[in-house]
Amino acid sequence: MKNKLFILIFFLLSHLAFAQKNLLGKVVDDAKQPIFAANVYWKNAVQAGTTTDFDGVFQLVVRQLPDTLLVSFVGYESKQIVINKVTDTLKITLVSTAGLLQEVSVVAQDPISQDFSVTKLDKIQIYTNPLASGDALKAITLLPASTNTEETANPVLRGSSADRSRVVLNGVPIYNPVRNSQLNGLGNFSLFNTEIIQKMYVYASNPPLTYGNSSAGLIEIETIKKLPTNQLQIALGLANTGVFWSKKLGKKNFVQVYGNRQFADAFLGVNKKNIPRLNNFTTTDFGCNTFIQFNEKTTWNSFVYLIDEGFSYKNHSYTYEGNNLANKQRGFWINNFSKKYANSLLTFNTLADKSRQDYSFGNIASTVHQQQFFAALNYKYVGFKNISWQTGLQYDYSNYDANGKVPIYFYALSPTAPTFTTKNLVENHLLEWYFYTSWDIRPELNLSVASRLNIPTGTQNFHNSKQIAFRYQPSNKHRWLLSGGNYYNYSTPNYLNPKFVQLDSWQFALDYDFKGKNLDFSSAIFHKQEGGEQTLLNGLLSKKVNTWGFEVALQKEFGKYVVLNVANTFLSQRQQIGEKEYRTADDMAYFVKAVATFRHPKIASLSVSYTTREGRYYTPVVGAMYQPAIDTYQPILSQEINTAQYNAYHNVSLTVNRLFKVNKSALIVFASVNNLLNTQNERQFFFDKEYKNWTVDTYQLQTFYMGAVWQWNY
Amino acid sequence: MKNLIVFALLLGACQNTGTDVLAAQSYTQQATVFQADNLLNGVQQKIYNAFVQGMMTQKDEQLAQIKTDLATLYQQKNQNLIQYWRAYLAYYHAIYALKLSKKDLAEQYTDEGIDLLDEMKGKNSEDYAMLALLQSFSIQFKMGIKAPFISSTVKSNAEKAMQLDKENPRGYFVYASSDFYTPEQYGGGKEAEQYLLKAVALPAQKVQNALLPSWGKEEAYEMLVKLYIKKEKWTEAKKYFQEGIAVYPNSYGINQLASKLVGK
Repeated sequence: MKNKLFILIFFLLSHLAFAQKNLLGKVVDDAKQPIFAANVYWKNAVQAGTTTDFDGVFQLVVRQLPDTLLVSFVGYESKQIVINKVTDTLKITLVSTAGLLQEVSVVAQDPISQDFSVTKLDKIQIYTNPLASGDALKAITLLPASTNTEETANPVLRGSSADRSRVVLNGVPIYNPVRNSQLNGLGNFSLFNTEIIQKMYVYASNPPLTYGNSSAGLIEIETIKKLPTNQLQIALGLANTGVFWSKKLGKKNFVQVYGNRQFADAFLGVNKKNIPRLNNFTTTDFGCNTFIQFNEKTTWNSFVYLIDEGFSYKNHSYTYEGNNLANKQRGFWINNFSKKYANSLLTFNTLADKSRQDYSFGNIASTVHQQQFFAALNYKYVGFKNISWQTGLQYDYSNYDANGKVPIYFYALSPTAPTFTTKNLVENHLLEWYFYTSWDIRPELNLSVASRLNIPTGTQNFHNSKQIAFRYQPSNKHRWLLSGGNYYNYSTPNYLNPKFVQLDSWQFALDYDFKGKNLDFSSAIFHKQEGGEQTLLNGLLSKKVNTWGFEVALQKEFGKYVVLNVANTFLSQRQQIGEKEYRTADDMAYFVKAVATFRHPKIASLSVSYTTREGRYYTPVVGAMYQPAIDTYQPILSQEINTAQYNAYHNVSLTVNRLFKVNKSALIVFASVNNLLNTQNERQFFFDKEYKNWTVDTYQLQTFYMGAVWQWNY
Repeated sequence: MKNLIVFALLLGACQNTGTDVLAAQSYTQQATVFQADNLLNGVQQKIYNAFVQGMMTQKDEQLAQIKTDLATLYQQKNQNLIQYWRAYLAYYHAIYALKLSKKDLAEQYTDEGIDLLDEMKGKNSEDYAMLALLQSFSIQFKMGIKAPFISSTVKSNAEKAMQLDKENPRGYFVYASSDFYTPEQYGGGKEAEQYLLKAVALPAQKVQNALLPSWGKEEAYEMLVKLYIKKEKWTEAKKYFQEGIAVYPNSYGINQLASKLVGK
């Protein structure tokens, strides 16, 4: 009996001893994958918790029931579960917060660039580009995708004319984004001050259809969203003085105000011999960029820009030589509103742009008034796990009002040659709706599709732009991009084509990029078919252009201080004039750009570039016919269009700059030489009265530029 | 009758004991499983101790051993967290090499750490903070060409760390650290203070977890005191010195600043 009692007590005691219960559970993510090292604890006993193992399994001692269990891990939403009793293994699924938060934050900063063939340029790359003279649009000319053969700042991408590509600033299109257009000797510059730029994206082809009115490429510029420090900057150069002032207004808000005055005296004084035909130029511009962050979710950016430019140079066109005078006043105002929600972003962008331009040369005189108004409402949603989509409505109104005298005979430009008066007012209301979606099929495979269509107004045709792209990125090292689409845009009216003409294109491109440790390689093969009537300089009408191209670029670092970039583009291009096909002027077997950069903070930063390409093709003059009524010879062009070729183009340019630290301020001194070897690159021929003799007009000869910028941070 | 009652009680007792024996077995299993990832338990302190050992003996055997063990564990378990700790070890291995004047080796370890995190898919706040820390550290090896490009990457990764987890002190610390070491001419030194204050106000870990990182807060105290000493704001310097010492009494970094505060 005693034994039995003893055994009974023993079992009872042991029952008490083993009374502790354990809660067994498994923590997984929404893809059913186990989460390792997650925190599991009772709400009121944080210190006595446990962590999950590699299989997501945990075991936690139960103190009392009911109780609240907390499960958390960085990157996931914490979960609270009320436990009433211990059952079988508890299955807990945590939802990732990473995807949502990251997307919405990133959306506000980076456009949808990853899905497209795009090159990113930041401020430093613009400043150290030897051909750019610190100008954002000119900095693009060293990219392999730039096929600009005219030394201008106009965006010429993958063989398409500049008017097919668009420049977008903070989501609004800026038409004619250059100043001193037609200036000979200094080259064009863009309207953009590099200091306000945070990022520039260059889409060589298949530009995202979240922007419209492009049938070739797109350049997307974003101004800065954050000002780290107040700064005053004073710039002085051979042709420029400028002030740039950045001021913080509270923690997140800021304003940037700048003004520049450009003048010819000093620049011409140094370079007159090599720019004999430039008489004078002056430009005054003013810009004000304001950024206000109302709260965590809402921001407003406002940018005002005003410019007054004028220049005069000796021009030679056909057989007339005389002074070309031009002046232009322009102002535009861009406003951007953006509001972040839990899973989405709403933006509203507007632009008002007005300009007046006077131009005279020979018997051409014109006054052009242009107005543009743009408004766009965009909505992007990233709430689904692997799919994001974006939609928007855009209204783009353009008005072109040109008055003046135009020569009756395109080859007779002397002031006494006959003209007729033109009065031309055209406008275009472009109302478009777009939809874009991007689907991460797998982590390394993405598909994006977009469609953009207009709601026809006036005499417009209906058009539907569409595109599709596959991105395959197996690792950070390799990226493949296959993209294609059909695009529509309207030309901007000018002297030769004073109306809004609908242009279109079909494009396909295959891009491959490789990023190694100190070696970057990129290549692309593309094909385009472009349509839409355009009048060429020699009066001919071009209807269709067919392009095949191949680009390859390499960037390699040598040691700590040297980087070498080499790129080549092969372009095969044909155009249809009349019923036949001819090569275009830019049909290039090679277009090589090489840049070597040496940068040592204690010595200097030096960039040397070498550009070489085949000469442009042109249609030779084979004779002249005298027109007695106007006492002028008319040139007879060969029937064989674009069969003659200028000499091969070679250009070596360099820029050097050095930063000096002086207490809280910095002094940057720079100098650049364009066409160091003074190579005579043929650009066109100037004929005498009877087209018997000619002189060669060249591209920019050797010109020298220098300046200094003083920066004071306070 | 009595026997029946005893028998019934015994049966009841047996059942409970039976279940508990099973539970106890799985607990043992659990402990066995845990042996395998025992390496990661308190790994941050292990790596730091191995680093200190290396500095004293001028030999990195312990660091190298943990490095090998982590690599082996990753082969078996393929978890992002293991890669994180491999990168953390690479950081300390690089500091060790630098202190021994082996600059090339230091650069190599730093680059290895960066590669590990670069390749990682689905990075969380901790991963971005660690990546920003390594990239910031790598700037000293990449003078000339790359330096300006790396600083902006450091900043954007630190910003991602802060955005992904507003209560992670490591994001704020790395952002502040990058600003602290950026020369004034380039706009540096403006934001370090506010971000360091944020870092020290947050708990090192929301929930104590020996497998997850807890660094950053101690370093933030040290940097904050240094910042105030530089600006000669002695009241603030002493305040945060005392606060830091109270939380981290054994911190070598904070303690050595005491000499600069004597008599101020």
